[in-house]
Amino acid sequence: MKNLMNITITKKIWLSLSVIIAGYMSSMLFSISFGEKTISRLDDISECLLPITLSSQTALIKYNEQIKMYNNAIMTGEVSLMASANECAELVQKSLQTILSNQLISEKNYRIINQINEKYLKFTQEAQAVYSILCQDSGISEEQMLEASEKAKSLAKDKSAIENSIKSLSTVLAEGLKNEFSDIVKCTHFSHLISICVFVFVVLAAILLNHFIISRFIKNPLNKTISMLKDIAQGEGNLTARIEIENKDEIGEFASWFNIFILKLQDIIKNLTQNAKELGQSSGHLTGYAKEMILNMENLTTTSKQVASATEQLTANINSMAISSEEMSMNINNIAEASEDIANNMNNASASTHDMTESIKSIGVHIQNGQSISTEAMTLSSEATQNMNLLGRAAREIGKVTDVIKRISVQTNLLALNASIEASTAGEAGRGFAVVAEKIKQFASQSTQSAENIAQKINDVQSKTTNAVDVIEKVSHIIDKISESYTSITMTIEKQIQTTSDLSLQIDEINNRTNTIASSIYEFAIAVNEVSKHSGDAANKTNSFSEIISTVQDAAETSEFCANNVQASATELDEIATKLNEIINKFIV
Amino acid sequence: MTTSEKNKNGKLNTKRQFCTFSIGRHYFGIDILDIKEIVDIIELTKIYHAPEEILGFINIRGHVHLIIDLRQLLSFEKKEIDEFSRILLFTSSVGESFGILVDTIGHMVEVEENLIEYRNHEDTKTNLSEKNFNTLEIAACKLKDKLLIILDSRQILKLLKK
Repeated sequence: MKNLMNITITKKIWLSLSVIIAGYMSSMLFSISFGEKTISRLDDISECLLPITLSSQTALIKYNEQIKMYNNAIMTGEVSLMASANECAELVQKSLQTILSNQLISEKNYRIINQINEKYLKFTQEAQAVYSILCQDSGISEEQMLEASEKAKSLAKDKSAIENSIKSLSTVLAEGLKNEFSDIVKCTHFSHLISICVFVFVVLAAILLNHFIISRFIKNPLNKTISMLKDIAQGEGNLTARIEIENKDEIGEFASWFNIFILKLQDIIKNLTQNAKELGQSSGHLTGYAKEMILNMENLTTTSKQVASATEQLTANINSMAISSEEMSMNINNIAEASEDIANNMNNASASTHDMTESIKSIGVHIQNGQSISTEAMTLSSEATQNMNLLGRAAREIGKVTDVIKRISVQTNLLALNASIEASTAGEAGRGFAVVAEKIKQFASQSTQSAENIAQKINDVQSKTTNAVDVIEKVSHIIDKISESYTSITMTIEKQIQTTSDLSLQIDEINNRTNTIASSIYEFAIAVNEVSKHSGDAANKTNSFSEIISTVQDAAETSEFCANNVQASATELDEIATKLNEIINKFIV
Repeated sequence: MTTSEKNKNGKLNTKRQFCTFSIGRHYFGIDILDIKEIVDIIELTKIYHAPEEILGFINIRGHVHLIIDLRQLLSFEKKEIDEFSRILLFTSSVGESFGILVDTIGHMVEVEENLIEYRNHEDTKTNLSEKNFNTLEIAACKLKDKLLIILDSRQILKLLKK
């Protein structure tokens, strides 16, 4: 159904026409089919039944002829008639065979005809035999003649039976033919009736189908579209309505394009609404701006008044500036005098620096003397150190001697000990010796002690000598330091000499500079004069400036007036915008 | 030399003389009758494969004497021979031709017999070194400022045999 809906209108029309044509064709085909049937039947008749009937008639006729011939032959007794009777018999047989060989004979008839045929054959043979005998008058015996006449009588019966049967056969066939024809006639009538019915039916169907097609697929969409358009045209401007697109034929296309057109219209109206709103807003803004502008103009007026007062002040200030510049020129004259004094002082300073140089040089000379003295002191101290070292060595040697003495005392002690041992070993006899041993021990201890004393003294002397050496070393260190400081002093003195010469040079420079200062101050005085002149000019200029300010003020007033006009126009614009909005809002988007 | 005098109690107040020496911080003394000589010049001839206590031989005026380190016998640490080391030679009554090395020699000291306190022989100690000490040390005596330990020189050789 959907596919059907979507084909074009022309095609739909063609479809309905084709339905009609199809119906006509179907009815035609139906009638043709019937005609075919009749034709076939007629064909059958022409091919089979008619020849059969004809041949059966022929068979009867020929049979009758045959019998006649036989009769003639008997009567006349001519053999040639027998031959023609045979010929007729053959023809009869032939026609009977033709009947048999036809296919359209029913079974019953076939058997009957067969029987007839057989009977006929038999009859013919016998008849041949009998009648030939009867024909020949001569040469045949009486018995044979009697036999033959009896046979002829029986044959007569057969002959009548066969004749009847052949007649009945032919009548049957003729009747059959007649029935066939009447059948055909009936069928033709029937077929005519059927075809009329079919025709009526087809016509009705075609009409209904066409009606259906046209109304459903052509008329209804069209009507719908028309109603929608009416609605849109006459209604309240509802631009949101859309036509339903049911099918894709020309009407559907028309509907879709129409929808698009309405959509576009809707968009345009929306934009218009938007723009109208914006217009309203901007007109409102414009009104605001106009008000602001008026305010600013008022501000401008006030500001220009302020500026006018300020310029008056400026004029006053410039006048005071002129006065102060005159004062400045007076002060500069004072400065010039002062710089001359500075120059004089500088000369004095350079003279004194020369004196300083001289005195520093003499200091340098004295320093050198001091240095030479310190070197002498160094040499003397080193001599003293050497002497001390010798002293120390002598003391050590004494110490060595003391060691020998100590050793001797130890040995003596040992000896004393041994002696006392021997004495005790000796017992009583050794008592005197024990006393001697005791004394020796005492001597030993005394000598030990004195050796120790000597050692101690020697140590003292040694330590004192080392102290003295240390002291002398320190002294020599100090002398070293002194000589070092002398050299550094010499260097410093030289530097100082350098510095003083630099100083004198610089003082000369300062002298020069002071002269330059004096000259520049003179120039400066000239410049100040010019300044005072120019400030007078400036005062004039400020006067003209204040006139300009007043013109600005006038201009501000005129602008205020214009701003008011602008405001009025803005309000008008606002009203117009609201009207536009009202109109546009009528559309439903 | 023992001098016999009668004291106030009527007992024999024998004085005995000891030759004193020190080893380590200990002050020892040996009966002077056992000592033949004290020698200070020490020129030892080392004996190889001998026990460590035996320091070697020394030749005194043609006589060869065996020198024993008393420090080792008393289980002190070994000390180098310095200028104060002396050799004490014993008489033949103690042992034949031997002496001991000591650290320093002190004076000859005379003490009264009754001040000497002899050791009790029931004291036994398990430590081997103490045993040495025990066998050697037989008495102790208080001097003015020191304690004098009296050794028996005859035990020295016996110790060596162990």
